[in-house]
Amino acid sequence: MRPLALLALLLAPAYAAGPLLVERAEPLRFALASEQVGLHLAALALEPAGELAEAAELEHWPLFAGSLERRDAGLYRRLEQALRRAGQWARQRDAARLRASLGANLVLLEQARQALIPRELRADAAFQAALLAQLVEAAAEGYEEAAEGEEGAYRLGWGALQRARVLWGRLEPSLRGREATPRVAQGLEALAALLPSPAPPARFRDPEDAERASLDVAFALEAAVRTPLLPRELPPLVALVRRQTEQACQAARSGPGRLALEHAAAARFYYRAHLADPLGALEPALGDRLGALLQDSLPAAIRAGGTARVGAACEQTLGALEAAGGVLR
Amino acid sequence: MPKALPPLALLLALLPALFSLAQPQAKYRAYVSNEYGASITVIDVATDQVIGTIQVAGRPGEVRPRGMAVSPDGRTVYVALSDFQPRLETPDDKIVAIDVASNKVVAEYRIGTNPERVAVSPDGGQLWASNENAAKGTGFDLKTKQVLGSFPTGVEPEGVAVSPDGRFVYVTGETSHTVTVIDAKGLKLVKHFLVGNRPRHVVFSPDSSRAYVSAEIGGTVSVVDTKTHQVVQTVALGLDSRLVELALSPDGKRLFAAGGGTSTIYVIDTATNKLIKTVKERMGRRPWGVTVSPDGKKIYTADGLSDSVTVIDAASLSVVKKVAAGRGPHSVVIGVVQ
Repeated sequence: MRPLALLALLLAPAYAAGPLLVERAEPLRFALASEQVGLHLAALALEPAGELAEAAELEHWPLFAGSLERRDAGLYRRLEQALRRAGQWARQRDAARLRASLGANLVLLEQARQALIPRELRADAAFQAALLAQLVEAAAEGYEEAAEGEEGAYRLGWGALQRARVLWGRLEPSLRGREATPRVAQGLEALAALLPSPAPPARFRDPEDAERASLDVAFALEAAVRTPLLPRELPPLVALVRRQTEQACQAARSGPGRLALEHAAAARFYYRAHLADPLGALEPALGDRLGALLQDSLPAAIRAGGTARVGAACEQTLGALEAAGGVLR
Repeated sequence: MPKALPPLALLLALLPALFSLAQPQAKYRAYVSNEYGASITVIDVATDQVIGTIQVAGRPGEVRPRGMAVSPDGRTVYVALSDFQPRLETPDDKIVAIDVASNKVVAEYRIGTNPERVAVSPDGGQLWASNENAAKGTGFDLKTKQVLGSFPTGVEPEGVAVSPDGRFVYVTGETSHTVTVIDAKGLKLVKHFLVGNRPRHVVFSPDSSRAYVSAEIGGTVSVVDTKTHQVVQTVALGLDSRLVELALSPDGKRLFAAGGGTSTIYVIDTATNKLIKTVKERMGRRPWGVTVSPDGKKIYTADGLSDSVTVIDAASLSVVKKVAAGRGPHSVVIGVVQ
């Protein structure tokens, strides 16, 4: 290593950058949402269920559909059709067709990631670690929800863990020799003991075991890639939700469109993941209002179109976000 | 030649020694909740030997003893028990009282669903539980055996503590990153305030002027002014410190923070709020729980992954012993046999 580079490395404080989940929010959202669509399709192939198809179509697909339409309209159309067909087959409980189409659909999703996320970022260890941490969290959530009786949740969790293990297989060689690396493997093993097969266990163990294991993996990944992955401060997250809302409003001014809906969905996604709990505890009325604006009013206004309606919804949402920023300082 | 002491003066001079002979020495016992074993391991603090195991539930792995608290006289240990059916209040959701002299469960109290941790008021008359999935903090009157009130907290409440002056109850909220303040005398909600990311535990200083709150994801200890209920300082211990339980030395001068995921105990000087030492060598794996013996001489940690209790000498801040416990030690407290 050159002396200057070595000096720079020594002078750089550990974990100097901001959390990757905020700094690389958009490509990570593309990666996670497309992975989630794949997990739902795989779970459907194991056991068709209309609600799983709906979640893929309504919850995860909108988080990258608008951007994909802009970058590769043909791929966007193929993926949209594939999801629509999967939804129909799920409602008809046609497992054979769902299984037969799964491979091709996963290829489409991989192509979407290639279209949306720059190659160098996809190859970046910290980026891969951030995605892995989110998949592991999804695995733990799947286990927890399944233990509470939610149908289909276990298969999603199991699938998320399988994807995480595949990603870890690719990432691990570049992190060999680092002190935290074995802790990632241990955390994945602990999760694998809870989610050993695609079929749910007869008896669930304490779901907190899954949560602990997923946190173990996330912390170990942070240490291994020497980059903070988890957000720890609320103001940058408020700023992230605000930015997505502003982008939704800006895109909506040129007419109703998927990109505006994508940014609105992203604002809602980050709000629910990071801000709804603290705001709900500190200012419940404001939390409810902001939640309803992001969930209903803003997307409804974007879908309906019209400058006045979109403008009013944007003004209300951004106003509520400003108030939230004052509470979550 | 020195003058001989008159008989009365001699008696007075010898009185303390005679008194101590007449009074039996207090014996300390460490109680360790074993989350996966549904049991409590009892350790004699003088010898650091296991002297018993108390089975507190019949379904190990399903019914979990977790947080514990000790009555002010040290004679009763309270254990929070719950199953993992978080949305239902089941008969397994309760606080059990263990008599330290006999090591027997002598009472059970129902204090809401899914109690994760428990605290005792300084007069010994109230129990307070954090009800994890109900997002409540519940008070219970030990005399009337009635619930005093159930108060909304942040999301996934865990740490609960009563200030030594008996005025306030603090309850941490894991995913809302908050502390809820309850007026323990007026029985009303005072406020919620933000602390570090994913707060797990809270302790008060002996004079009640400060509270310390650990944050697992934040890697911080928030120092709170209890007059204003505001964070006045944040002690950063590193992103990978994984802080869980906290314990203060009896004089309040040192704060011990259990770094669960990193198998480390962080020692903070409360005068400066600076880290003065990390204890890592020979530590058990995943210390979740930490407590200090009433004489301030030893620190005990409940090591969740190595099924052990680590004993640390408070003077040298080095590990002096490891004691085998049950499966999945979660917390440790110290009771007194008079």
